[in-house]
Amino acid sequence: MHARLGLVFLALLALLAVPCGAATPAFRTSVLEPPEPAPEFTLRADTGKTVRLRDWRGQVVLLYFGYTSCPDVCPTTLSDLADVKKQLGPRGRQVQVALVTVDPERDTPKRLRTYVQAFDPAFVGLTARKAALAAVWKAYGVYVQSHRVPKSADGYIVDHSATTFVIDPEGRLRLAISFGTPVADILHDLQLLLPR
Amino acid sequence: MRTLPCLLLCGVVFLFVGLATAEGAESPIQVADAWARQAPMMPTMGHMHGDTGTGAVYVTLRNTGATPDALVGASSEAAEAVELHETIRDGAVMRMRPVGTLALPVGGTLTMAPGGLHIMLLRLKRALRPGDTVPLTLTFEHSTPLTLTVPVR
Repeated sequence: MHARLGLVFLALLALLAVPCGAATPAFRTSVLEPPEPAPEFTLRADTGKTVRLRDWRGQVVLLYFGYTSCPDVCPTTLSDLADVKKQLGPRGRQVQVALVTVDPERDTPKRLRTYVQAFDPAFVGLTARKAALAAVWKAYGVYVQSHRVPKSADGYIVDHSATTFVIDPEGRLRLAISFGTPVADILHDLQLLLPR
Repeated sequence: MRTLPCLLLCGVVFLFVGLATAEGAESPIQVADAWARQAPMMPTMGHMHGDTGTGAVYVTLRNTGATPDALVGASSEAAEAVELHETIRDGAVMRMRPVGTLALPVGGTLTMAPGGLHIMLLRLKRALRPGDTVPLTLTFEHSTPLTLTVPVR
């Protein structure tokens, strides 16, 4: 008799649990929980204008840290993000993609602008003085390490975290997209975060 | 009735691919899926020759010969320098390093892909735009060099 009551109790619990579970959107990329306010920053846009993160409130912000001399990882990510934006159609206008440089010595605003615009005319490149940039890298937990490569004609290479951070329209840090995440998964998650 | 034109077309396509991708004697190295990522020309500080850029080519190579070989280098008239590089994933960090040679064992396949092995084009002389092609010559330890016409996308 007790065993049967126990089973009924469990069944009731399961019924309660199902709607609760369904209420949280099922993201496919890494969810940052609980959603905390994204670290605020003031950086120089590639247009020369000063940009604060809060200027983009109401939009979904995709923040990527990279550099313009990066031939493989950065263009792959920016191409994927441009593809996602295209597939979102008119809703893509509510997505702001920003590349924060990890190579301020070489990445002048003009250079950043030419670079990001090759992927999407609405993408923005961000820079600042080294100390100000380093504070932003640290706030987002981004690893940046440049080193000389004697064998390479490149001079130096910058190793860096290749994560894309997703900030929701309320300015909260919600998702961390790792390098190589399929475009379909990014698209799926942005559709959940975009205002209806 | 439809098979004959189809076979002829296939033959023409194979001939074209053969001519487009390889020069000279038949090479035991088979090339597939060669493509370059679009890359813009950008103003460069301290660069005396104006704008320049950085690009990457991805290609799959297969050694169908009877002797081991290796990819030892590459060159292109579109870039001042071409190097073999590898990106290595280390947690969330992507580290890129030049690599000396890439082994092509008998029957082995060498696959290049974003976030892994790639051919890096340094100090581009022109922008690589989607729809363009870029010439690339691959040099091997034993086989004769192969010149490819690589589509940009």
